[in-house]
Amino acid sequence: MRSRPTLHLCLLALLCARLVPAAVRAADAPPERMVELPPLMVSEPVNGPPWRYVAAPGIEVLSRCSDEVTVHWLEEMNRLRQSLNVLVPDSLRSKRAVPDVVVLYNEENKPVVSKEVVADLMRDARDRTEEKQGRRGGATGYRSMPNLWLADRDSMVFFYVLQERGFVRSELRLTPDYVRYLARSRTPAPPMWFVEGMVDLFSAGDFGRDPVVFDTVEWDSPAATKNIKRDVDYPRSLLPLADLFATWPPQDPNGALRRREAALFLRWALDGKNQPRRPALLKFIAQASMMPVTEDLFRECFGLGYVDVQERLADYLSDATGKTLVLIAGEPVALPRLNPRLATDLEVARMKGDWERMEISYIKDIYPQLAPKYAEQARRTLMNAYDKGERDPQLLGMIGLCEVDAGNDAEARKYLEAAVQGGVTRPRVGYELARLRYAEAKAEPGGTGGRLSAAQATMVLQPLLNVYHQAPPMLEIYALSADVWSHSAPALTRQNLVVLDEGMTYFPRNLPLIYQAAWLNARQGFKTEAERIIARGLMAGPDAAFQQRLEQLRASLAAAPAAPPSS
Amino acid sequence: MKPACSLKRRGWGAAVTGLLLATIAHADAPTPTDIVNWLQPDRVQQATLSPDGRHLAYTAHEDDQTFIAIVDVDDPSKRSAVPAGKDSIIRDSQDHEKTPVEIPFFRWAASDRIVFESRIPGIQEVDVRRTHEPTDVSIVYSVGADGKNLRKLVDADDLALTTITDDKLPRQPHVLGLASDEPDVILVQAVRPALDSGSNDPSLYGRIATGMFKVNVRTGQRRTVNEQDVNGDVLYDRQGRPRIKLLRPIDSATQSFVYVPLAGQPAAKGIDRLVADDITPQTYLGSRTFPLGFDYDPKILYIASNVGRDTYGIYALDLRAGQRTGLAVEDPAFDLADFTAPGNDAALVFDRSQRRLVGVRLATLEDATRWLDPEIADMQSSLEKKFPGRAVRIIDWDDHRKRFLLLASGGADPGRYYVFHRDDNRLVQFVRRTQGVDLDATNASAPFAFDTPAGVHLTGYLTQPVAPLANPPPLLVYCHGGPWERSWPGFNRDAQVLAAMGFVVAQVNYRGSGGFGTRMRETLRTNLDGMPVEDIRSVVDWVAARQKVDRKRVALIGEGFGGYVVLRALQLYPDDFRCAVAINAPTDLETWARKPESVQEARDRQDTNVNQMHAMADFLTHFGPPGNPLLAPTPNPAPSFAQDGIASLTDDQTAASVTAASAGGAPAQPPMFPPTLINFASEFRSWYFGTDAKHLAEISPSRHADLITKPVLLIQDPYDPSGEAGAATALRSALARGSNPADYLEITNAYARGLPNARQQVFAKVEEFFNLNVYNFNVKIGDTKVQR
Repeated sequence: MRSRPTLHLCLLALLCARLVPAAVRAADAPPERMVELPPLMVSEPVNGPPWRYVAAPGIEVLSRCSDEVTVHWLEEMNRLRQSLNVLVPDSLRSKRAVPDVVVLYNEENKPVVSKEVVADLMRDARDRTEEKQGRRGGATGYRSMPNLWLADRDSMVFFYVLQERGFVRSELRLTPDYVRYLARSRTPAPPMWFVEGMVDLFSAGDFGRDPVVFDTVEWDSPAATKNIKRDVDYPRSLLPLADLFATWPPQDPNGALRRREAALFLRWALDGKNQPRRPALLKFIAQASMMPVTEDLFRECFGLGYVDVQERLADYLSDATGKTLVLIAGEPVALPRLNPRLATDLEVARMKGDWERMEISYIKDIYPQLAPKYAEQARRTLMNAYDKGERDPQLLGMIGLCEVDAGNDAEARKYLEAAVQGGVTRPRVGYELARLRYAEAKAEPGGTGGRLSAAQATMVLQPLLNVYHQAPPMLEIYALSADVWSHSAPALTRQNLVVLDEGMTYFPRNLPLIYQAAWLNARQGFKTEAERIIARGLMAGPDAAFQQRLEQLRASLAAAPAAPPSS
Repeated sequence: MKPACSLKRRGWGAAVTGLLLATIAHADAPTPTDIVNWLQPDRVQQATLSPDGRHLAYTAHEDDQTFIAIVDVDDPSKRSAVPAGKDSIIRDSQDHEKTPVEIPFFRWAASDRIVFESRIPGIQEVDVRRTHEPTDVSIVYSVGADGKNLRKLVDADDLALTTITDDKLPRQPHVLGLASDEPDVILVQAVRPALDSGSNDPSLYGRIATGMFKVNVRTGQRRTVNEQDVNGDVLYDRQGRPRIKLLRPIDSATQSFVYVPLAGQPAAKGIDRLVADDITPQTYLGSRTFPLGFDYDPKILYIASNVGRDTYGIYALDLRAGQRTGLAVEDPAFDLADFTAPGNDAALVFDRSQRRLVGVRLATLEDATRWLDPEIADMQSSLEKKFPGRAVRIIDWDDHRKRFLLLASGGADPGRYYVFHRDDNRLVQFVRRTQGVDLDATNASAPFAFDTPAGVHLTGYLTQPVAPLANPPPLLVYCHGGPWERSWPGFNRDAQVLAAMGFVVAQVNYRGSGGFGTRMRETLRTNLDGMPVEDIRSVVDWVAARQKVDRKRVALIGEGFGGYVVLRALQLYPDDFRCAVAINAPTDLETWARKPESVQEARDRQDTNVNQMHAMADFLTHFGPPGNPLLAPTPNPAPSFAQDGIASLTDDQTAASVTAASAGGAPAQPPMFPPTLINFASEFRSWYFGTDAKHLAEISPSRHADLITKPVLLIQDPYDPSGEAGAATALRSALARGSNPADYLEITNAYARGLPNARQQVFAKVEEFFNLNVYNFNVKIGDTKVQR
C-alpha cells in the first residue's frame, strides 16, 4: 500500500494574477541552465528572507512573511477554524497526532509556479468568485485559505501564498474543499449526506464575522423560490428522508436536490432559539458514522420519524427562502502568545520537505515521468538536515516515507526502523515499516503450512503497537493486523482481537475488515463475538456477495471455520 | 395559593377559572383562538389529477369562501382559482355561525375540463315539505383546466317539476358521476324531498320524485334520461338507468330492494335476493346483503354481504348469469362496507381510463386500500416506503400511470397532497390539507389493538400530548356514540384539542362498535352498560401498563351513547375515574327506548299536525256547491300542494310531458291525515335496547343519580336532530337535588355540524371543567380583602 496524497487546488483569488511562470534550477541540471518548472512545483528565489517558525496547538507555520502578518494569519486561521464549530464541531472533524504544517509565503518574494498551476488556480478562482458574486450581490475580494494543500494519510501540509502588502485578515476565508476534507477524513467517516450538505450550507455562510450569517435558501429555481417564500403551499420537491440518508447513487439525477436537501436538513436542525435540535443532530451524525441509518435511530435522536421531519422541512422552506440563518460562533479560544523565531534547519527540512514529499504521489498520477525529479527535490530538502546530523524521529520517518513514495522500499527501511525505534509519532511510519517487515516474513514463513511463526508475527506487528492509538486511525493498520493474524500460526487471545473491534469502530462499513474479524474470532473459537460481528456485518451494507459469505461463515461456526479470507 | 402538586398549567377557561389559577398559568398558554384554529375544517378537502396528468385541482376554503384551485403540475406558477361559494348562515338556525359550502362532486370530465357540484347548506326554505327545515341548494359547474370558461351547468330551477297548479318545484341537482357511454357527459340526479304532510294522497308520503339527466359539461346541454317516483331511493347504473329501487314505506319499518331489469334483458331467477336482503330493525346489524354500485359493465353489480361470515366483504354479482363472479374482497376483522349506507360505492376505486375496478378502500384501523391491480399495488408499496409511519392513499393517476396523486397523512400531520413522478422518481408536495398547524404543537396519534385478559379484542387510537401539563400525564378515555358507530383513522381534531389540554387521549372502539363484524356489534345487547364500561377499564389498564399515565387522573368523555357509557362508568367505578363529560347523552334509557323520538322529531310531528289542520281548513273553506262555498270563494279547487299525477316514467318520457298530461285537474279531495310515520331509526333503537323497562331503568344514570359522586359535565343540544341524544335534564335535575350538582352547558346543533366556534365553546367549557376537576389545583381562596 502506498499513500495517496490528494491535491486540492483552491481559490487563490486575485493574488494569482500576478504570479508569473518562471524557471528554476533543477537539482541535477547545470547551474546555468534554466529548466521549466513542472506542474505544481513551487520554488523561490535563493536570496529570500529567512524562514520563520511559529507553532500553535495543532499547527506549525514556516513563514517567509513578516512576523506580524504571520501571527495575524495564524490568529485568523484559528478564528475561522473555531467558527466552523457552528457547523462542524471538533468531534466531527478529522484529528491528527501530527500537527498540520503551513508553509506561508509572501507573494512579493515572487515564488515561481508553473503555468498550469496558475491557470488551474485562476480558473478555480474565477468560478468561485462568480459564484460568490451571484450569491452576495457582487461582493469581491475574498481570500481563501488554504489555497494549496496536500494531505497524506496522517498529515496535512498547506502552502499559502499571500500578498503581504495590503493584507487584510478579515478577507480570509476557508475553502469549501478544505471544509469538506475536514469532515470527510474524520474516522469513522460521517455519511455523505452530512458532508455534502454541510459543505453546501458552509458555502452559503459568511464566516468573516460573528455571528455567522447564512444566506437564504434557493429552491428549485429563482422563480420557485420567490413563490415558496410568499406561499406556504407553493409546490416543492423534497426527497423522502429515507432516500436522503441512503447511500447516494453515483449517477444520480436527483443529485443537486439531494445536496440541497441535505443542507436544508442541517439548516433546520441548527435553527431555532437556543438550537434545540442541535444535540440531536450531533448525536445522529455520530451514530450515522458508525452504523447504517434507520428510522429507529433517527427517532431515537430527534424524537420524530422521517416523515415528521420531511414535513417540517417542507414547511421550513418557506422560512429558509425568506430568512437568513444566524448562528453565533462565540469568542474563539485565544491562542497562546505567538513568538515567531528563526526556523532551524531541521524545521525547514521537516516542514518544507514534507510538502515536497507529498507532491511525489500526486505527480506520479499525472506526470509519472517527472516523479523522480520531485522525489529528488524532496529527498534533497530532507537530507539537508540529516546530513547536518539531525536524527529527529519525525525527520527520519519523513525520509522513510519519502523513499516509500518514491518507490524505494529498500532504502526506506532503515529510516523507518530508526524512526520507530526513536518513538516517532506518525501512524503511517509504523504502518509502512510493518508492511515491509510483513513482506519480508512472507517470503520466508517460519510457521507450518506456509504461515508465519509466532516470532515473525510479533516482529511484523511490533511497529504498530505504538500507532494503534495515534490519530488518525488508518484502515491499513487494522487490515494489515488482521491479515498477519490470518496467515500466522499462533493462537490469539480475545485481547489480541480487541484491536480489530476498534478497527471496526473506526471503519464500520469496511466489509473485508468485518469479515476478517469475524473469521478470526470464529477460528479462535470466540463464537459469541463472531456471531456479533457477523450480525453487524449483515447490517453494514447491501453487498449481496459479502452477505452470503457472512452467512456461510455463520453456518460454519458450529463446525470448523471456513477457508482463510483472501488478503 | 399553592398547587397540591407540581403541575404546569395552560388554559383559557372562563374568567373565574382564569382568575383562580392566574398565578400558576403558563406564560405561553394557548388562547381561545388557538383552539378555534384546531377546530377549523380542513382547508383542502379533496384533490384530483387530470387524466393527462398535467393539472391538479383541489378544493380550498379560505376567508369564508370555498374555491377550486387548479395548478399546472409542470409549472406550478400557472395556477387559477374559481369561486365555488361563500359560507352562509343556515336559515332559522339558532346559532349565527356560517357554514362552508360543500363540494360533493369534484372530478375531471376530460383533461381540459373539471366538473364540481357546489352545495350551499340550508339557505333555502322549501315549502314542498311544509316544514320549516332549511334545504341545501346545489349548483353544478364546469370550468376549464386554465381556470377559464366557468359555466353553470345545472341548478335546482333547471330541474324543477311543474305541479298541476303550475307551481315550480325546484329539485336540487346531485352529480352521480361521468356517463360511461358518452364522453363529456355527467349524470345528474334531481331529487324532490319526500313528503311528510300536506298531500291528499297517502301513497305519496315518503315518496321522492327523482329524475336522471345527462348534461354535457362543455355546452351545458341537458336531456332527461328518466323520472322515477318511489318511496325510497334509486340506484342507477353508469349510463343513468334506474336499476335498483330501495323502497322505504313510511308505514313500515321494513325496507326492501327491487331489481329493475334492463329492457329486453329479463332478470335472472331469484336475482332480488342476490342483490339485497330486506332491512328490518332486527336485521339491520345482522347478516344481510346490499348493493353498492354498478361496474362500467352494466351487468356487473358490486354488493356487500356478511351472510355466512362475521364481517362484510365486497363481491361482484353477474346480473345476467344470476351469480357472483370470482371477486371477493374480505377481511376477517373489519367490515369493508358501511351497512348504514346501501348504494354507496365510495369504497370502490375505478380506473377511468381502463374502465374497471382496480381497488377497494378498506375501513380498517388505518386508511388502506386493497389494490386489485398489481401495478398500482406495487406503486402503493413503493410509496409507503417513502412515507414510513404514514397512511398513503393513492387518489388519482394519469391515463398513462406516469403521475400519481397521493395523500399522506397520520402521525401529527393532518395530511399533504403529493404528486409522484414515476419516471424520475420525484415527489412534489403540492398542498397541505390544513394551514396554520404548527407541527411541533400537534399531538401524534396512532392506532392500537390488543386482547384483554378476558379475550376481548379492542381497538382504538391513542394520542400523545406533545406538551403534557403534568408528569405523568392524565389519561382521558373518549367513547363514540351509536353504539354502532366507531372511531375512525386520520387526523382527529377533537383528540388534538383534548391532548392539547395535556391528556393522553384514548379513543376506544368498545364492544358494540360498528365496522368490526356482526358479533362485535350485537354482543353489546346482552350487557348494555357492563361491557363498554369493562372495555374502558381494560383500555386504561392496557395504556397504564405501557406508558406512564396518572391512574389517579383518569377522566372520561363520551358523545351520544358514549356519553351514557361514561356516566355509567362513573357510577359503577367511582374510584377509577376522576370525572366525566357527557355530550348529548341519553341519561334515561327506559324513557329513551320507550319514546325514542327526539325533541326535533316531536316538533316535526307537531308541524305536520298543524299543516294538516291548515289543509283541512283550506278544504273546508272551499267546500260546498259550485259558486257557493260554505265558507269563502276560491278560484282554485285543488289542494294547496299535490303532485298526484307524477308516475314512473319510461326512458323516453320526460317529466314535463307527464306533468302536462296529468294537469287536467282532479276533483278536490279532502286532505288525508298523514299515515303514522314509522321512523326506522327509532324503531331500530327500540328493538336494540329492548322493552324490559325495569332493566333499562336499573341501568339508567338518571335513575340512580346518587351513585354519581364524581364531577360531571353535561353538554346538551335540546334539539339534537339525530334523535340519539336523550335528555340530560333528567340527570341534571336529579343531581341538582343531591350534593353533587352537574356542570351544564346547553348547545345548538352547530356543534354536531362541526362549526368551529360552536365546538370551541364546548371545548372551552370542557377544559375549564378538566382544569378544575382533573388537575385539581386545590386552590383555596381566602377572605376577600378590600384594598383602599
